[in-house]
Amino acid sequence: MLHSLLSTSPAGSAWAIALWTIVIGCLCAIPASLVGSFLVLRRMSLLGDAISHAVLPGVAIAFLISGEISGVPIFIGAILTAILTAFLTRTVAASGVVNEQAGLGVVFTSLFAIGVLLISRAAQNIDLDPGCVLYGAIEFVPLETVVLGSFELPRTAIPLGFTALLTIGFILAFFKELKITSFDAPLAESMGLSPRRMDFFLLLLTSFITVLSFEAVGSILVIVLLVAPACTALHLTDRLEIALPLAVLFGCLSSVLGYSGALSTNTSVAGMIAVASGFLFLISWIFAPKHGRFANLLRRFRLRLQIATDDLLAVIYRREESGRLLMNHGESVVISNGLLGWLTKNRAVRKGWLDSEVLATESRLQLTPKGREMAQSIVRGHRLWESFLHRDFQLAQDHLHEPAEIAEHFLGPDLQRELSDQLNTPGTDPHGQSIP
Amino acid sequence: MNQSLAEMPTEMKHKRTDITAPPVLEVHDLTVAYREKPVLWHIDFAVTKPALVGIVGPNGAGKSTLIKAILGLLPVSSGTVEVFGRPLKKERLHVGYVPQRESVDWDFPIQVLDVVLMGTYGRLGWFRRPRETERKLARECLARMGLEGLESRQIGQLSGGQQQRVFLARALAQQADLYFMDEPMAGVDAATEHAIFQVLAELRDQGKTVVVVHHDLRSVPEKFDQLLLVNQRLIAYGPTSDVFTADLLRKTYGGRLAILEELAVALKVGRPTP
Repeated sequence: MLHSLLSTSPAGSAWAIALWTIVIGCLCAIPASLVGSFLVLRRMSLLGDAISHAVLPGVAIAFLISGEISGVPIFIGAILTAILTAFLTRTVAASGVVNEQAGLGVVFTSLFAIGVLLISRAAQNIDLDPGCVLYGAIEFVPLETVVLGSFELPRTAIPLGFTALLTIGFILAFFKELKITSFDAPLAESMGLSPRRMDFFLLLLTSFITVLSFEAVGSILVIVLLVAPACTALHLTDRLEIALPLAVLFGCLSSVLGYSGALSTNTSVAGMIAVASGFLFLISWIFAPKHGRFANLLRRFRLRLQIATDDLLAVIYRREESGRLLMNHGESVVISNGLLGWLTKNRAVRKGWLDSEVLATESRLQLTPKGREMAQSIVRGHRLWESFLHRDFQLAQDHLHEPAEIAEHFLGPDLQRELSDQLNTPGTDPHGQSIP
Repeated sequence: MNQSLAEMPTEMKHKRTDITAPPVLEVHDLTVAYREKPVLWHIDFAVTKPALVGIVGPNGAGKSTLIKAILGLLPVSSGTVEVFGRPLKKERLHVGYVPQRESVDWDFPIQVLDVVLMGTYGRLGWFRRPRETERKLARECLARMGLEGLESRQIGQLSGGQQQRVFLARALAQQADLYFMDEPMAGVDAATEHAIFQVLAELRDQGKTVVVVHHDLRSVPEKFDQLLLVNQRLIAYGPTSDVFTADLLRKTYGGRLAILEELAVALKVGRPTP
């Protein structure tokens, strides 16, 4: 579809069309990702979903009355149904029969279905493609142009640009109010900064964005632009002030990537924009530096390696302490085998804790003076913790080792000192072993 | 010299401790219903002078509902609330609120200082943004709660006790004369509880009133000046020494006072009358 469209255009304007398609995509994405960020934070993302579905009957009815496919009547019809949706949802939820989520589900799917029926009925008589309403036709949007001064631009760019500016202006003007009503609505209300008023403005903007993005990305795909860039950005930062511009960036990036993707695969641009924003979210979900899956796994693996090294040093320390030359079986099972065991020993040697000469024979492993110091601290932590549990929780002797085996890795010098002070500097642990 | 009210220092304008001043808080015949089922009936009481007021009652007694209704956060079926002799709506700037800690999302992308700054939002009103004056105040409030150095932490990285102290710091930044706090001691360590009670006592000594929903009966007698016993109805209101009696507590809790709490009460108020 995209290829044939571009090939039929005059050579010079093919570029202009490509560029305008991307710009239109961005103009949809900018307000959607900004408003969407607040919808996500306020746990209202389903409302965006609901509105984008529910405006359909409004559009259809306005179309049936006015006979126009775009323009003011459609806009008013859509806004009215959006407000009706929010109102109906509140009423259904407030009646106490079902909860708000279920209320939304009932309201918007029914309204959406009515819209689909009206449109398919109207489509028998006139040229209105239901697919167009659902998925948009961003490819054709740049073809319908208006001249503004000496500048020719797609007709849709004007209302979309206006909405983008309106959204940015709204967020700049009400940033403080949006922040407090999203974070702590009861406090905001007790201060007279009404959360419901903010909800209403957000709802209004969401319906503006949905209706105006309609022609370009359709009523379904706009949901992705409301939710995905916001989620991607919120994954990457702990500050709202940074999350908002990031969301805009990811929204625009989705438009660019979506267009190039559609160009190279010759498929729907709107579909590709949605896929691209989903893909960006996936990347941030996996690779985000703080909250990503990858970073999580890495952190967990590092901790495991540290614990395994601690255990290795402690076991050798205990053997040396008992004066034995070889490790007994009970001691050697503590040492990890396989890859983890290999990495552990390597780490200990690299840190200068383990004598590398007898590395091959596990039972004869030797600590360096530096390693002995390290191991001593771990064993000290272990035995102090055992004493603490024994004294303050009256745990039986055979219940002490396992909790201490965990705690020993997290007892730094400060905590050890505090424990020792509280226990009046004990000489031995409950098993009678000396505390180094 | 003719000094208009606007030019007077704020300290004088807000001084509400003289004898002729109207009561700090007057709740008259307050009834709250949830889906046509009343949860609070005909609550009537007045806090006449600055005090630390505890609200005590069993789970489901409507303690949180009571302060939310007073603050106008819930629709009320009947009754009036007056703060410093005026409807609450007109005195909002003088009223501070600390909601329950669980009522907010601690993963919210916001830093500690920003949360404390929210305390100044009411005074700033619509549109105006916090400036350096507000930031300075917020930092002072953080320091007063012992949270220096945590300004730019994301709030989810704090311990429960620290989170509660952030809420208290935010309340201090509100610079109110009447505070409502919903279980500020819930789930905090002993050190934090002590620190919070200390700040509450300081506020009272500065002539402010703090109304606290509290769940731990053991700390009631030595901490609160006035006590409000609630179980859907107002069981009793008055100075703690008059109200904290075995009889009234049993009336409040019905049969639901746990053995340990019974014992604690018995230890505090002496042997129960046979």
